[in-house]
Amino acid sequence: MFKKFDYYAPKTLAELFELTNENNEAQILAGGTDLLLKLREKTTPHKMLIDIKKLDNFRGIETKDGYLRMGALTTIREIQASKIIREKYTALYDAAKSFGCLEIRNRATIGGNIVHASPGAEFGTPLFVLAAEAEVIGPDGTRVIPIHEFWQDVYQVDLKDNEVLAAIRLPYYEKMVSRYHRLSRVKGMDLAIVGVSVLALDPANIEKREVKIAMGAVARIPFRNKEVETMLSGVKITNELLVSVKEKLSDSIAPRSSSLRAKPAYKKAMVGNLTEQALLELGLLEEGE
Amino acid sequence: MQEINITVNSKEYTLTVPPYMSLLEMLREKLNLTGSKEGCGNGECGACTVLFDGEPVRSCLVLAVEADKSEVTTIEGLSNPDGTNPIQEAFIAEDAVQCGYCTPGFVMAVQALLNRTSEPTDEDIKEALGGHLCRCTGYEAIYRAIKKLVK
Repeated sequence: MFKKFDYYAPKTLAELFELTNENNEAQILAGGTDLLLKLREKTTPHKMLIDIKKLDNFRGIETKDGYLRMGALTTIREIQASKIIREKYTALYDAAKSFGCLEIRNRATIGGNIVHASPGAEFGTPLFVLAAEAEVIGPDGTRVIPIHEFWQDVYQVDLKDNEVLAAIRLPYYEKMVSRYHRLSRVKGMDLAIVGVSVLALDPANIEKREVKIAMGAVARIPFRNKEVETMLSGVKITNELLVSVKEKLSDSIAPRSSSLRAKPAYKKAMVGNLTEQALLELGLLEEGE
Repeated sequence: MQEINITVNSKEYTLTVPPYMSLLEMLREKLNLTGSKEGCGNGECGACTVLFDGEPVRSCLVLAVEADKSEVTTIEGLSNPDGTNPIQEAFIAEDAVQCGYCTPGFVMAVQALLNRTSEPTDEDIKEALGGHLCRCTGYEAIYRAIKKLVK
């Protein structure tokens, strides 16, 4: 049995906000693959769960006014199966594929992954390089927040007690490629030791090309190294450049030594390798040098 | 306590459950369907896998109240009236069962796989089994059983 709690499943937004307004202690339940674990281990203070799965507002992947909207209740399996995500937002597809196992992907949601705000969250770095925004809804209306501002700290996001994450918005660029790579102790169901997302806008046009790199499980929240991004943008990426990029990436992070999964030195050594792997797959590395 | 309407193995039930009861506990304790097992209770081992509206899920990480108005299939729902079904027979033929604790979860995962496609690739099979642990480590035999079944 889980820790005792009350359970409500509102059918309308009005019912939802009535509940959240009156109960500051309430916790939103989406897929439950994180939350129910905590309730079983009795490590969470929540005495009331509000299940939002009966609300249609938070479902579905749809194109809207130049961006892609993923409802917060979109399951990881739905992301994995989406053609537009696989083709246009490939880093998200990579993250979905390496997430948990099939049964977990059937329940776990993108919203839960984001709001939980674990430092190594699978979708952290892909959403960061894709310039995603969080669509937050409350009794007073909707707020749209850049994803890196939505993450405030470990396990802490910019949500008031009566607000709910409704969706993730992804801007659309005609020419955009991206990949996400991670290392884990076993090839299967395990959390990431370290993860890297690389994105390039206008990848075939070297002068105009813009490269973005985000690292996960290396700091309290996903981290982008703007200096390295500038070094890689608008130029041919040679092996020589790559050597100094890997050094700079490694120097820019200070992973905590209390990590359960790897020592800081290992993470520092691996971020460059994962970056190289992604650059290679995206065809961004110059050959024969 | 909360009242739920749920269809389990094609039979309809109206049950009164506490909100903090898992779907797995409901199946085992309220309906006496003890085929689904609790291994880790953390969603990691796969022994509690059931089909929830046709898709495989970890019943230890689903609340009974979340299954209101849903359809659930357990290992008991796969057997024919006269005994086993083809997946179970394939497991028996290949000695893919040792202690048997993980077997119901594996069989449900294979059923879900075959519901998705009748011609799964090696990748499909590995993905379907990826979240299932066998403490006797009989993975080779399990994989072989499925390969033979789909050939």
